[in-house]
Amino acid sequence: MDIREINMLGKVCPSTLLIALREMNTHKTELRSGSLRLVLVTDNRDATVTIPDAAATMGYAVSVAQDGACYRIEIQAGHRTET
Amino acid sequence: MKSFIKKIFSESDTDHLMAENSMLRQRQFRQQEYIRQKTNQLLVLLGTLPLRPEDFDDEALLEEDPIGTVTESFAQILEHEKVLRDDLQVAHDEIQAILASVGIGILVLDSAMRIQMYNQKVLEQFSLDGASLQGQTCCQAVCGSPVMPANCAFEKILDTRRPIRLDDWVRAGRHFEVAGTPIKNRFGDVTHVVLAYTDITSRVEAVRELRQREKIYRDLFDSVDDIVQCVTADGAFLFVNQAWRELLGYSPDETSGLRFWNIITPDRRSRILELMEGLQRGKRRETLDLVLFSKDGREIAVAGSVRSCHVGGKSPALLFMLHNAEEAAKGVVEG
Repeated sequence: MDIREINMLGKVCPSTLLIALREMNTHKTELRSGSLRLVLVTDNRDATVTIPDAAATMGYAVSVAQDGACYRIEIQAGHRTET
Repeated sequence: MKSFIKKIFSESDTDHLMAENSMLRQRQFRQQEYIRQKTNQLLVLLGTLPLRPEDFDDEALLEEDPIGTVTESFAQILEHEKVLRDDLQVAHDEIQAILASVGIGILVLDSAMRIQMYNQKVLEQFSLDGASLQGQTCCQAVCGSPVMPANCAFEKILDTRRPIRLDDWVRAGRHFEVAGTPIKNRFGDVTHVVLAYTDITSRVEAVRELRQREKIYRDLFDSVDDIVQCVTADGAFLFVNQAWRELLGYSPDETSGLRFWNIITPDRRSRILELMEGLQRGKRRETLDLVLFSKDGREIAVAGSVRSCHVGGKSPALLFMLHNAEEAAKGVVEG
């Protein structure tokens, strides 16, 4: 599985969500097929709620992990949402 | 620039161009405001904040196309909703099949006691008209009353928010075992209640009949002069008759904690076990004589017969039918 990592450090809502949505739209086919995992790195705490909510509503599995002062939001095919 | 324009255009042309320019600016401003407003509506629907002017100036608003981004995402949401709807339909069909196949009546009520779902069995159990059941309150449909009856399973579940079981709930002369389970939302509020009704009328009638028969046998045993006792393999008394209690002086409560081995001499215990083995091997009946200890310590010689009996399908018990040997001997002498 390929991994596409997007650095969103310094960005806040709603820009973070719009970036995430654009990535999920652009790579929809690879994400749905399970050949790609999207990793969004953010330091905006609000994004750890808005992005997982939106991605789960779109049918993706989402997990959020804290990595120092940042958060790694992983989006891939599936239905599960873990925090 | 103005002087250059004035050289080319007349005064009226200039005014006209400036007015047109102003109008175009206003139109562009309105369009950008419209895009911003619609984008914000979509972003709020997605649970995030509206656009901030410092992130998206008017130029970026057109270049970044946030409406296009959010619209495409909504297309994915709708595709996913369709998959979910198909999954839900399958789950719904499965639940309907399960409801139809179980041998118990099932009602699903909302928090206002209105019937949301039911199966065929519940219609049969309560002789209900299925066409008009949906949306009726449970007490109207099942109990035939506008108010909740006493011992209402639904009310108990709403009060306690916990599953409950009613062992013998009676409606129209029939007996039901009712198992009720609450369905809660993420805040812990009860949104629905599932009630499962098992008709136990035949079981209740069978138990009642058994009790009546038991009473007949008990009366019968209590009316005889012989002492009758039923003892399990570990020596517990399953039954003793009135003559037994009178002869040995034990009350019913005392008998329940007593062992047969406590009222015979130790050397007779092995004889009793031998008898038990013989009866298990197929012997129908054995005769024996014993000395029993009464509560006040008297030794009472008895004689009679013992046979095996099965109680509740468990290991065999021994049914003793004995008479007071001393009294019998006296009777012979006196006779």
